[in-house]
Amino acid sequence: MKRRKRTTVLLAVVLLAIYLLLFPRGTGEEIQLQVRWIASVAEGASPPATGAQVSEGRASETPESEGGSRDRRRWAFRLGDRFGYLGDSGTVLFASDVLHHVSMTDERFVNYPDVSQTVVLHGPDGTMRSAIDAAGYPLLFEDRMLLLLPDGTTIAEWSIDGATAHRVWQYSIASVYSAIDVAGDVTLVGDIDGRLVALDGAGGELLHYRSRSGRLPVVVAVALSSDAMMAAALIDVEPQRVVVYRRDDEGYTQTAEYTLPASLRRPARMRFLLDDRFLVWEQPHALAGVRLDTDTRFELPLGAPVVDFAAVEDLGLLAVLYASEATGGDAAADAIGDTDAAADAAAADTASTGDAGDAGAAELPRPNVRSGELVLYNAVTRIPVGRLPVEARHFFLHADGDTVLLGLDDRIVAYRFIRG
Amino acid sequence: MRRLLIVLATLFVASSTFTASLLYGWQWPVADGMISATFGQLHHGGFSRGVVLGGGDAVHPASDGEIVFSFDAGEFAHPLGSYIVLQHDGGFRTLYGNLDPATVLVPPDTATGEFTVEPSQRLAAVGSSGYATGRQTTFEIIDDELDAFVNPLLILPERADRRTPVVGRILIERGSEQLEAGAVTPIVAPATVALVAEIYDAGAATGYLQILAPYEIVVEHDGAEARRITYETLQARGGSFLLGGRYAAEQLYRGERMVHLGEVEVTTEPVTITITVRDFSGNAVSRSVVLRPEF
Repeated sequence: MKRRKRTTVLLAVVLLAIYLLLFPRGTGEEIQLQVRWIASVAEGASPPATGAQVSEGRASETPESEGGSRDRRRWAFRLGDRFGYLGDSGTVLFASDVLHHVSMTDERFVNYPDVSQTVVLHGPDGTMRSAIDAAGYPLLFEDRMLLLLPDGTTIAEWSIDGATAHRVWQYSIASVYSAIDVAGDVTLVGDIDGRLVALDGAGGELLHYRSRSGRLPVVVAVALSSDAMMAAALIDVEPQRVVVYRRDDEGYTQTAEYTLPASLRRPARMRFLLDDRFLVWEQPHALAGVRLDTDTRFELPLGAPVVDFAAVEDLGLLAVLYASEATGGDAAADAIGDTDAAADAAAADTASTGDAGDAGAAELPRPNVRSGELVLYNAVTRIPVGRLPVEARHFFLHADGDTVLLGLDDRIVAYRFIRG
Repeated sequence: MRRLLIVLATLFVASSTFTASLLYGWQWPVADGMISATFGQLHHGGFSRGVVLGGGDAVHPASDGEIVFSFDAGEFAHPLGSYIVLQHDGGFRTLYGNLDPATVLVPPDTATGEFTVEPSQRLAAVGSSGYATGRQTTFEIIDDELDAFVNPLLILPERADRRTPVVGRILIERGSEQLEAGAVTPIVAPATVALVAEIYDAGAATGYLQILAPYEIVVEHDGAEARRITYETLQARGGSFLLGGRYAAEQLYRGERMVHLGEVEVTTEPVTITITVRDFSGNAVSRSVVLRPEF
């Protein structure tokens, strides 16, 4: 009798657990992604549309109520071979094809061929601003422009005022550079031999470090905090390490070092995020990081390699986009995955843009389609609070305030977050 | 330093067939690649860090090695395009640039993957990625111990070359004045003049003139060595590269093939200037001019 009672209790517990697993209760942290607008950036695209609301991958129609807030902000995008600028309301302000590569800020861009002796700067509307006679690949950061010289070891900074354009400084790192970041007037460069150099606004060395501890020295990623007070690098192979520096009167002094369980032998992404309280970096099939004020390390396992990540500053969220490598796939849902929810979203997209030929209908298998997810994590608890399946050949991710832009092949969806 | 001395000793002491390539078992990374730029020559406004090989089909490791880094696509476009870096025994690293991005061997994102490669394996197809005007492969060697780029022609197997280097025009510069030196050139003395000469090695494998750097330039004043420029290593010092740890590109070159060879004091006696240029196959050429003082 007693045994039967215990079995009944156990069964009840198991059933309750299964129920909670299948139908989890809200924690109040769930995030709804409301679609603000969808913009097609394909050549000859139709105007943007607004409408669907997506939460945990489910979509529903809700009106966009942006009234009077059109184009207060401007976002640069690069999606496959297309690049350009979007207005706050989803207006495609400018879009064009990438020549060889494009470097962009919100204020200007350089769309350059593979070999050129001239750097031509354009405004966000596509009008030419200035031209500089210099060979190399430009990198634009806010109001600065670096030029990567053809030798692969030399970096120069150029002023970008067309009337008085001149070379500010030039520096050759001792080997081939592999990673670069800029913040304020500081430039941080890593090379293939494990060298890390920070340069000031005149090209003077603030930091010169050469790794000798790893079996194979190399720098695969570098990052500067927004105020350039902190610098970090993903360095060496077997073991790979994260080194963190803080700026002082002498330059930069190392303050932390973390040994990692795996090594990447390719360029990786690393960023200071959320008011520079977090340092986040790419790992094999994972996103790892450290909360710097508490020295708390974390790792977020993912189902595939990281495509990109960003912080949704207003909500303290980490948006992580990951996708598998794939060689083909059925693209029944053109923009968003093959789940019911994604199909709903794609249907909403189709309805709002009126572009019936783009989605829903059976299409030929597309090569190099990658599938994955956009996952939103609470940065402090690292609990996932939202997921959205994605499938595309080309991705774009950008977060700004409470908005996330997700680009999938030839369209960009702007999501706004709603808690609850 | 020890390694380079071994390499140099091998080159100079032993016969031409017993080279460093045999010592280390190295091969050319592109079997039929035509040398279109050599180490140390003026290339895109600075020193070439390695050799550029035009044409060919496949890029192979120059020796057994381990993949350290594969730059396929990053957050910025790299002027070397898609490139692979290998680590070899003896502290050497090799870099293979301008590869075809679609074919680049990408190391797996795992701790236990297969990262070693051997010369028979293909790293990638020859491409034109990065700052390249055609299908080419940039090949560079870095010596970890020297902390320098090393001339690949010191290490790769020797290629047959019977063409001698060229010493063309010899220019005498005095302030803003410039005159071309003849066999005997009068100089208003006393004076300190700069010596500039057109020097290059002619590529051996092409039907048209290919301007390449030589292996060595020696300048003698009245039989005494005044300057020796060897194209062996490039080292970075304070943000600039120096050939042989001494000469910056803007000091050494006055144009693609015009080399600054230092200053000459002309006082009371004629000065015989002899310029000797050698290539990697031992072909050499000498030219002499006499600077005769005039009062």
